[in-house]
Amino acid sequence: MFDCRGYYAVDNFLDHVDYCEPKLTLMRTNTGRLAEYFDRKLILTVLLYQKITDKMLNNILQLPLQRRRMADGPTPTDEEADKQSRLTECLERVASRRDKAAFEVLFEHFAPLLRAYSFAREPGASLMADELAQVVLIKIWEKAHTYNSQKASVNTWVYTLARNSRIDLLRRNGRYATEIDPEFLWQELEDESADPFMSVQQKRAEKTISDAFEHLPIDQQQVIAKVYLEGKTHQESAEELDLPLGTIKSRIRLAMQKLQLVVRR
Amino acid sequence: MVATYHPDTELLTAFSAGSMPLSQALCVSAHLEMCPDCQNSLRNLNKLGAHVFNKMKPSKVSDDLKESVFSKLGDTAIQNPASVIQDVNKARPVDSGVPKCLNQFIDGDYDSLSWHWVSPSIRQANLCVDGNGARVALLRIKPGGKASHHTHMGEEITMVLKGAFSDESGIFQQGDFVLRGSNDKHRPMATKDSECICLTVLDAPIQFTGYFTRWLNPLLRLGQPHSKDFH
Repeated sequence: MFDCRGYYAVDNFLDHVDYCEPKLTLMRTNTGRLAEYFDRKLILTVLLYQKITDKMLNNILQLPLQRRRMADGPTPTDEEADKQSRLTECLERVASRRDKAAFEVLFEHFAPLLRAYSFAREPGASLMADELAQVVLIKIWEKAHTYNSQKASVNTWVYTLARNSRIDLLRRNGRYATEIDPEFLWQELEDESADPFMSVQQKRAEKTISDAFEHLPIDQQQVIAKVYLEGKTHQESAEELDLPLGTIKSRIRLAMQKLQLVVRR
Repeated sequence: MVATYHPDTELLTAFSAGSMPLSQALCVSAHLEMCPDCQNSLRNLNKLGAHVFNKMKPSKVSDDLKESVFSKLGDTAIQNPASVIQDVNKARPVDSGVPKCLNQFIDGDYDSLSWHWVSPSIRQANLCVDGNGARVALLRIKPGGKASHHTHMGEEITMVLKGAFSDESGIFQQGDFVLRGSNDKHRPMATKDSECICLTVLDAPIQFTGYFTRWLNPLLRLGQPHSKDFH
């Protein structure tokens, strides 16, 4: 067993597990015992109890400095964390008890965001904004039991519901003339079974992404907002921002490099 | 089999944002089904989407909307997860190797499609035309079969669903996602060990450039479904 405690920032280890082969398998053996630990403690425990393969070690050594620093960045305020865990709790109550009071909390949080998301794509289309909000909120109610807090935060889950519903709504309103049914394109991907690691990893990744996004240059943030919120293609973004198509693409590429969201072997 | 060629960062971002033509999204979706790396990337990119989504300036909600949503809640019972799983299994009786996202066009396996003759070694099955005029089709090349030299008027995406093909720039195997720009002249050839089936999306019709194959151009156009949006 290689003792790496003295050499590498424990913080980075978890960010890194994703890129390691053989992934988490070698850590699963002690999962039962590890599950009571969280985050830092969990990682430390892993380092103490588990063997680190040479390949993992190499991967850790190759971590860019920026990524190591990112882990030391500002932590989300307790307020934000509290809000997130409250939303998760409410969604789980909706799933298990069909709790309307809990659903109301979700409604108050997401309905205004969903309307804003619709307006971002179709400014002035008030009916569509209400329709989208309604469609997504009812999906939240109906699909609450399929939500798995280990895989994604409530925010991310709702974002994907909103994105899929907006595409479908635009298509049914004839905004996209197409014979392709989007329902089958953005289906939830097959996923590994629930794993205590994934939950911690998932939360860390979201925190890292939020922090890093705020440090991106404004022009990169602007393009990301165009693409994600307004749902504009690269070509449309180029026309509206009066920039060459190549500039739009390179801004996205640069932003994603900094955020380190795209896995490349 | 692990894919070697992936959609680039910009395309994956657009997929995560839901901001690309659906014909392209179809190819990315087919690739994702076969590529765990890109699935991971997509999960990350979705988190970015969630972050910007969550940071939007909220838009005021009317009491009517709230009333309307709450009035619809009572009617819906919890779906039994077990029955959902059964439904999914029913929809996929045998492992035909057809990506799930193509089930809307393919009833069963690839043989069930109507394949048009393109050349002695190539058959084509048209799936649909996207709103922007892009044509979505499957190409089926016999083992060792060669396509003719051709260039594209627009971009072409090729997703290898089965087998492998090679051309001047490399060998492309099951799961690989290849984007070719306009003026990219090439001559793909299926590997000898198996037939090759590809999903292709073409912004504009391809042009055969070989002297002896130019006559194919009008034929190929005939084989394409009509689109009033096409220009």
